[in-house]
Amino acid sequence: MKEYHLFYLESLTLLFIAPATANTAKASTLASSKTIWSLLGLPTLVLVLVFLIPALASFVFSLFTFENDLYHPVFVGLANYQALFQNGAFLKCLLQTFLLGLVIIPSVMILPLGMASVVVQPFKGSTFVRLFAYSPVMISMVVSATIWKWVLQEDGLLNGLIQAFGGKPVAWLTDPNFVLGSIACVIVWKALGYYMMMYVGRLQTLSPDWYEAASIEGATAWQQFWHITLPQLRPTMVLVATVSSLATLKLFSEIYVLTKGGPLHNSETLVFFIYDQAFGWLNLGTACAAGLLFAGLIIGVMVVQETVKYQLSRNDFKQTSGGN
Amino acid sequence: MQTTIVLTPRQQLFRKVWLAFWCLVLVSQAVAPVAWLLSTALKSNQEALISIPPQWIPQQPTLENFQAVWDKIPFLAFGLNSLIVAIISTSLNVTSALLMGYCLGRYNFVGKPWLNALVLASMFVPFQVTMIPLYLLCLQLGLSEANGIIPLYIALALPFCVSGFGIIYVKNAVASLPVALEESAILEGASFLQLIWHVVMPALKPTLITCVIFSFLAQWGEFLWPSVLINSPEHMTIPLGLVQLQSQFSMNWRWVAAGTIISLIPSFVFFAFMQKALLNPDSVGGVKE
Repeated sequence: MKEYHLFYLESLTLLFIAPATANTAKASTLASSKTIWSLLGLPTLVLVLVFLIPALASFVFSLFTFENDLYHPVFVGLANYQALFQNGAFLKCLLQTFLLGLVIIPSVMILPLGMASVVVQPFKGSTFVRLFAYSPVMISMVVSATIWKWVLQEDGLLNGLIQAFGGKPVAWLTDPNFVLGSIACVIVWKALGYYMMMYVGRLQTLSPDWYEAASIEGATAWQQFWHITLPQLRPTMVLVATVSSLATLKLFSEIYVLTKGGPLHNSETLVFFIYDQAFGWLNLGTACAAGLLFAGLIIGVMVVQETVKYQLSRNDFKQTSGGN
Repeated sequence: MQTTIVLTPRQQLFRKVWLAFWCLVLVSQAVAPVAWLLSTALKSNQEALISIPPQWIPQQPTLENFQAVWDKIPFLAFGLNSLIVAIISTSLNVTSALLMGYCLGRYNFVGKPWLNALVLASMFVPFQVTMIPLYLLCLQLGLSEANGIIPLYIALALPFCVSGFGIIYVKNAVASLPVALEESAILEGASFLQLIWHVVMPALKPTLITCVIFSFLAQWGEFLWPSVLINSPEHMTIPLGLVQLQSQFSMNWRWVAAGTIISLIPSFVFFAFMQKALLNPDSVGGVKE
C-alpha cells in the first residue's frame, strides 16, 4: 500500500490548513444528511470494523500478558512496553530497520534523480526507456525477492560474475556482514523506477526560461543543476525521503522470502518481530505493544516530514518577499 | 529543459553517445535479473545452471521446466484466488473511496467531523498494528478457511475494501471540481445516485483509474495478510504459492524460475494495458506541486 502514502501526504495540508473547500457551502443544499448517510453507512461500518475496533483492541491487548494462558490474559499495565526496551531481540530488530533505512533512503533520493534527468530529456525512445526502468515496480515483492535470491545465492549469478573476473565469491545472503546490504540493494532496485517517475513529474514542470537565462549568463550544466534544478526539487526530495522511510519501516515480505530473517536473526525488522511474537510465540501482548510503538514511529516520520515541508515553504516565502 | 547553447557536431555526438550509454545502463539494470531468471527457466536438466562465466543463453532452450511446474503446482487455482480477492477488494475500495471522498469533499452533514477523524486515523495506524485483533475478529466471525472458500475470500478482502488513502485521494480531486455541473443536474431532477453515476464519476475518471491500478497491484502482491489466514495449499494466492514453491523445490531452481516466470505473466499483461496511465507522472505521484 506504499503508493497511497503520496496521496495522504499531500492531503494532510488540505485537511488541516484548508478544511472547508470553497465549493462545500453551496453544494450542501444538494443533498441532506440522511441521503448522504444512507450511502456512507456501510463503508463507515466496515471502517469501524476493520480499523477502529482492531486498533482499540490492539491497545487493550498491549496491557495484558498472554504468556501463561492464551485464553485467560492477565492485566500487566505498561509492563509489556517496559519489557520491550529490555528485550535484546526487539532492540536488534529496531537497529536493523534503522540500518536498512540508512542505506535505502539516501539511495532512492539520489539514484532516481540521476535516472530521471536521463529519461526526461526529449529523445526518440525515451518512453521506451522509462517503461523498462519502471517495470520492476510492477513486479510483486515476493517475485522480486525470488529473482534476487537466485542472483545473490552463493552459487548464483553475482558470484559467478565475480569469479569470472577472478574475484572471490561472497555469501551475500548468509554472511551477517553482508545480508543487510544485500537486502537494501534488492529493495532499492525494485523502488528506483517509482521514485524516478516522481522526479520526472517534477522536472517536467520546471520552466525552461530559467535555464535559458542561466546559459546566457554562462552557467555550466552542473551549475544549472546545482543552483536551479536542485532547489526546486527540494519538496519532491522530502516526499521521497518520507515515502521511503515509511516503506522501510514496513519491510517484511522481501526479507521473508530472501532470508526468513536469518542468518541468526541478523536481517529481522520490526514487522518481523511483531509477526513472530504474535503468530510464532502467541505473545499477543508483546506483539501489540511493539505494534503501537511502531505506529508511533510512523506518526513521528509524518510529523517530521510536515515540519520540514512547512519550513521549506516558509523559507521560500521569505526569499520571494525579500526579493520584492 | 531545453538549452539554447549551440553545440559543435562533435559535442553533439558526444552527448548522444553519453545519453545512449546511460539509457543502456537504465534498461539493463532493470531487465538483467529477470532475464537471468528466464534463462534459468529455459535451461534443460543436462545443462549446468552455474558455470563460470555465467551462461546467459541456454544451449538447448526447453519448455520442460514450465511443463513440470505447471503439472505440479495449481497455478490456475492460485491465480483465480488472487484474481477474485483482488477484484472484490478493488471494486469495493474504489466504490467506497468515490462515495466517501465525494461526500466528505463536497457536503456538510451530521457527523462529518467524526467521519473525517476516523478516516484520518485509519491512515496513521499501519496495518501491522490492527492485523492481530483483526485476525481474531475474523476467526470470531467465522471468516476462516475452515468454513470454506467464500468466507476466506471475504476475510482476505476485508481489510482492504475501505482505505483512507483512496478516500482522501478522491476527496482532494473533488475539491478542484467545479460544482456548477452538479447543481444543474439536481435542477434537472437527478437523484443523488444518478448525480454520482452520471456526473461525478465521469468527471473523476482519471482519479478513479489511478485508485484501481494501485489498489489492484497492492492486492495482487499482498503477502502478509494471506500468509496469516491461509494454511492449506488449495486456498493459496499467487504470492503464497510462490513461497511454497521455493520451500518445496528449493533444490530445483529450474522449476522455481519457471514458476516465477509464469506468475509474472499476468502482471505484465496488466502493465501493458495500464502503461499509459501508469507512466503519466500525475497518476504515479498523485501529487501536483
